[in-house]
Amino acid sequence: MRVLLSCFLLVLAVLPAEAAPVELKLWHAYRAQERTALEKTIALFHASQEEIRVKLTFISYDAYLDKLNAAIPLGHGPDLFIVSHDRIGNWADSGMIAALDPLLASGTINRFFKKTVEPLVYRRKLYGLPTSFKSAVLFYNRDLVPQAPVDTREMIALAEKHSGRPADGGLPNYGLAWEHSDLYFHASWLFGFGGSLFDSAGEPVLDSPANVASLNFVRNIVAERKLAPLDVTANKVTSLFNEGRAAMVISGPWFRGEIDAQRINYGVALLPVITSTGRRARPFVGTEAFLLSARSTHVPAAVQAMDWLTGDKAARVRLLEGFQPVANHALYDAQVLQKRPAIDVFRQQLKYAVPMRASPEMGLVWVPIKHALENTVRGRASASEALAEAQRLVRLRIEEYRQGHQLKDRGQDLLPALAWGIGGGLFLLLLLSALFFRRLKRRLREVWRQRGAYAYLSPAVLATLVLIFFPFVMGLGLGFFRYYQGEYFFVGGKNFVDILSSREYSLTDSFSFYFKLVMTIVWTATNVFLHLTIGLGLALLLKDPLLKCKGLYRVLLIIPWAIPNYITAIIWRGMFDADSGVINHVLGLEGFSWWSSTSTAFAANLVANCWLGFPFMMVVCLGALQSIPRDLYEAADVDGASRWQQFRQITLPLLKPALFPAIILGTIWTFNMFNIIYLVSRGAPNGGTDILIIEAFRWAFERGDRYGYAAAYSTLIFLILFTYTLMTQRITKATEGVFD
Amino acid sequence: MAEVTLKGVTKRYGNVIAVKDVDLQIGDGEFLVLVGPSGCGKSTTLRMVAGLEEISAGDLFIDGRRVNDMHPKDRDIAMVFQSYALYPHMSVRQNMSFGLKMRGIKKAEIEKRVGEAADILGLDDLLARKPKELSGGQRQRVAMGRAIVRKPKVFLFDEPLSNLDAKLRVQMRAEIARLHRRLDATILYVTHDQVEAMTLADRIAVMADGLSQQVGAPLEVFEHPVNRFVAGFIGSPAMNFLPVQLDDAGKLNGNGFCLTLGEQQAELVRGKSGPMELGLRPNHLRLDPAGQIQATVEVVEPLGAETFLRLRQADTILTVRLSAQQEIKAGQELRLHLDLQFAHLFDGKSGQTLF
Amino acid sequence: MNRSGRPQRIITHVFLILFTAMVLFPVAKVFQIAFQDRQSFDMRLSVLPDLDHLTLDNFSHVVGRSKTEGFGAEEKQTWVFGHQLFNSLVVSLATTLLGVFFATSAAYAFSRFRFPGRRAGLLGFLVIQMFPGTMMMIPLYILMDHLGLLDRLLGLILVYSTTAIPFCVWMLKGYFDTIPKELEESALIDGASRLRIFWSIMLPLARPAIAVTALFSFMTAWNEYILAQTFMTEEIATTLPVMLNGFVSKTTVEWGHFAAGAILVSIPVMALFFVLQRHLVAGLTAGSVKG
Repeated sequence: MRVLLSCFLLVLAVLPAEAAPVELKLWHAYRAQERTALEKTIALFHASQEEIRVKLTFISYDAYLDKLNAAIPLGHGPDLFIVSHDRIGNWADSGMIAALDPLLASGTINRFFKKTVEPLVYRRKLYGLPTSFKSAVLFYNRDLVPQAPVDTREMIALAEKHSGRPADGGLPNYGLAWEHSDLYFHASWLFGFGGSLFDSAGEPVLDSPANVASLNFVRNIVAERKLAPLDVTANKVTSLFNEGRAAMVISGPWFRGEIDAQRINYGVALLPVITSTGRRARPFVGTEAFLLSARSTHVPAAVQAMDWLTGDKAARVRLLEGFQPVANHALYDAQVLQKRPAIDVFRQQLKYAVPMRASPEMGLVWVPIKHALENTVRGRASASEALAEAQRLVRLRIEEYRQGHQLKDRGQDLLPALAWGIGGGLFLLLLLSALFFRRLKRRLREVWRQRGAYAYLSPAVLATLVLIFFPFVMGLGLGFFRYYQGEYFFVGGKNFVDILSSREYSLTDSFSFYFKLVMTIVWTATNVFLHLTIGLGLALLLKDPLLKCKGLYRVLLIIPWAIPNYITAIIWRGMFDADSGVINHVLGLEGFSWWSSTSTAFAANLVANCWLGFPFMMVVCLGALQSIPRDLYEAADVDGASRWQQFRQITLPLLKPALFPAIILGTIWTFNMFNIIYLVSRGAPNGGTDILIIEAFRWAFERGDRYGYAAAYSTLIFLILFTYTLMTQRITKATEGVFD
Repeated sequence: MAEVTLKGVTKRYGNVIAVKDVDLQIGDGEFLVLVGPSGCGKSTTLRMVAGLEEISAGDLFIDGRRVNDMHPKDRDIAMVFQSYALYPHMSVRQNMSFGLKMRGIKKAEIEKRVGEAADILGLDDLLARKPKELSGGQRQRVAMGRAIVRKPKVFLFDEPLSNLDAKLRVQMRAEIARLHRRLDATILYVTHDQVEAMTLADRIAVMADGLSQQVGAPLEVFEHPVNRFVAGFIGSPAMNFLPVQLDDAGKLNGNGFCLTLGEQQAELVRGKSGPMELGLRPNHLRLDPAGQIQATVEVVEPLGAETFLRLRQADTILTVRLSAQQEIKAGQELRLHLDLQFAHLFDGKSGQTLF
Repeated sequence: MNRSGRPQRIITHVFLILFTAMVLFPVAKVFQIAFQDRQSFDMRLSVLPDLDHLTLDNFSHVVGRSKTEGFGAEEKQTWVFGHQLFNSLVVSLATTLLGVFFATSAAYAFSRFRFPGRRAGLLGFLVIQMFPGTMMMIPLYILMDHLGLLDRLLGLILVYSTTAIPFCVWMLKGYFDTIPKELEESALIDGASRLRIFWSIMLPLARPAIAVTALFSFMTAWNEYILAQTFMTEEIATTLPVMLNGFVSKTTVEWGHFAAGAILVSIPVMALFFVLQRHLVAGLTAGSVKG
């Protein structure tokens, strides 16, 4: 009877589930083979059971993390998502992801390599199930390097053999190529030299002698021996290797998918032993894993799905078809390894790998180390100086981050932020009213009389109020808050004080607010000046009524304006490349890196932005020139004025009213031009070419989620521009025409 | 047709008074010209009648109804602008029918009225053209045609001829006069050109500094100006003014001359003294070796049928009109006879006419 | 200034040709990459495609992008490119319409009425562009969520048409200012209502400026990808620039695909520029010059 009853209950419990399958949302950023493999595992999972359906959504890599951050807290996120482990600490702290320990059957994690599970543990809780692990290994071109080097001495010797410009004067070859300024890769050397990032107490120790030695090692290879390219991106590593111009490459498992296997006969090997320490280079190992959103409403189904999808069956597909070094140790059997011998190298490398920490503190280390590496390699500082600075910054930022705890105890969240934002907005509105409605009372009647005007205005104003003004006010308000673990805490004017007193940097440091401000002003002034000069020059040429093909020139010269600026930026970055860029080719500067000094990097940005910006000014000037009556020039001719005098005395003064609004707009746009600098110089060197708006962005997204600080930065940018506009209006009455 | 009445109409822009307390009465079918120098408030007055400017104080009546707060379109007026304000994107026909279409008049009726107006103005061949394909005179005619088709109670003209060259202006002037006779319409016409005013108007109203100075038939205003301003503004060439001092004996002492007033005139200024201005039209100065004053010829302007002389007497420039050609050269010293019986005398301070 | 003689004009032509060539070089490079079968970006001076590597594969890859969903019987093919193209068109055209509507009506008010708050309003429209857009993303996302506009094209349309407003209002207002007031007064006396005047007098006369406004609104929507990929989740719900951005990842750029996509994305805008270029000069500056 009891058995019968429990059977009955069981049926009851199971029935509804059968009736409507649970739909799980799974987000990922995989592309190419990895994506196909993932899709196949999902299909297999669907075939294996009926109750759960997984809806797979691809999000492009760029947007992925931001989108997760935005969507999950609002309940629009996925149930599951695949992501590399490094933000687990922040997400766990802010309650975005759920710990898995209580949900998993015991022993589940035993099927993975231990080192691949470690990065998923934060504060002793497990936050994900690993799909694959990623560590650096050595790829080599078998045609050039028949046998992979065992130690670094051998590696350097081999590299020297294959470096340099070929006899026919073509593009240079490199013995070795890797992203030398990325800590992810540099970690191999750093740990190999016996260095470390944190001590046993979890405090940063970036300036240890071993770390310094590792930086000097890199500088020796890249800058002194010139065995590896100085200007390097992942892209460039790929193309160098595929063109046979790099004999060896240090990269991760994804690199395999990018090699043109038809052209390059390549091998994969363990990273070499470091000759001076006798230790093998120890790469970071990171893990890609399924994480469970804390907001998921289908937890059991989600857990079931991730269990299955990280199981051996799915892992086999990913290994064989997605070429991923999967985390399941059971798969590395002879049969599989025969098919994918390269994968086994990753498994071996794992023995020497150092699991990457997922803590927020680790997240704060990346950028300072990157700058330290770049400054060392590019000769802007010695290794010990560079690391000392990195140590100082990381210390400061960790301290800053930890202060959040105290705030958390006080318990405040977004609501007062909103209140403050709205309050601030109202205050601003009042201020504006005080400025412009001095005689408010008398005006009220006028307001009623002119109600027709407001009717015309209302659609635009309403839309602007809701969609621009509201977020704007909120942005202003955020400047008085500090973001910590998913919540906002009121800190008053601290952010502003910190920025304006340049608390973290000396005044002349390339990261200080004032340096950025000067940089931004120089950037804006030179750009607007050049856009205007080029635009006006062309307009003067094209104005000649007897010039043939005017229309054609005009159309062709407008083209840069029509092309989206992120496309422009990416292309210019390629054109300024040190050895394959056409600019160096034309100027005979092969091998010269534009990104090593602030002035050349600035020049490169400038060129790209001028290319983008002159057409607008040209068109404005053309229109303005047309409006200058011909007879003025005739009169000046009669008066005996030279061409130059005519230009100075007639053209310029009469153009002024037309050009001022364009200049003001141009100034605002250039002041806040993001894409060009972010994508062309990328701030190199050492953030020297970053302007204020990019600095604001980096504080928000690259330096430990300091949204409040970033908002304060943005507010300052706004205030500067606002003052500028008011000043130009007051002093030059430039916009008189516009305001009349 | 209708009467237009302005009672104490005033226009203020902030603290500036553009039009002050203007009273005007335009009778049914009357052609009234508002004349005055630029900035005197005449255009503002016209625009207030049109309803394009709000009336700050006072009342405006059209056909006995107070229309201060009435929308322009309900006032049943038509206006011809100085710039013609032809809609550049519409053909002449569309321009002329626009107002009728707005009033919901039937197509056939519109056709008929546009045809009639085109006929009157000689625009038949131009109906399909766009404004930019027309000459200045043609545009002017279209602008009038646009007003005519409406058959409004009142026509308002805002300096309609000032953008035309001299010859066309004379021609169009005649045409407007003809039109007025034909349509028998009430017209309020604004101009700064006193010749236009004199030739077209049934009555003219002279304005200066936002004030209406004098209203009357053209000749009446010409012959009996109420003050120095009107006297100087109306008439071409303008009246000559000589600064004089009236003494108790009824003598006018000028700079280098002394005149004795006739009995009648002396009676009119009895008891007055002080600085005055003596006004004489150019045709009331004669060359006469026995004349009362001496002057130096500065410029001789022979116009064929008549000759104008510009002479300097002390600090003033005098214009003399000679009916025939005479051998006179610049630099010559001449004596002039002043025809005192046609002279006007103005108070030096207030400018009021004394006789 | 007709004084420049023949030799001088030849120099002008030589200069212009050289300059134009320089300006067009990066564009030509993009074409070269797009028509070659390698996904790399090697930068030689020549812009001619290597004949051995000539191919249309990049374009067919981009245009033919589709995805398979489901498995077995549930399997269905979705033409991703088609969806994104459709979205881009819908969003851009709707943004254009809405943007022109917002901008013309507001610009008309600014140009023709003297109402309290006018200066503040104009200044406001200028000032509001000054706050860095990146900082408004998070609030905007929250707002969109509250309005229920996430994952809906309508949301994108509203945001884009609003961001285009300030510039368009400034430009249009300037242009409206050049239209003589008498035209309106004349129409007013002729018995036309304000709305009628706006519709039958102002709009036809402001055609060049409206064309430019439309172009800018269209461009704003057509080229944007950051908001599009933040507000839209499903790949088939996003727009073409998001696809383009998908070819660029942290570790690699699929140059061939990127270039082909860039050409496909840029062509409509370039065509519009070409068609509207005459208006562009008039529309953009007439305002500030005051005819």
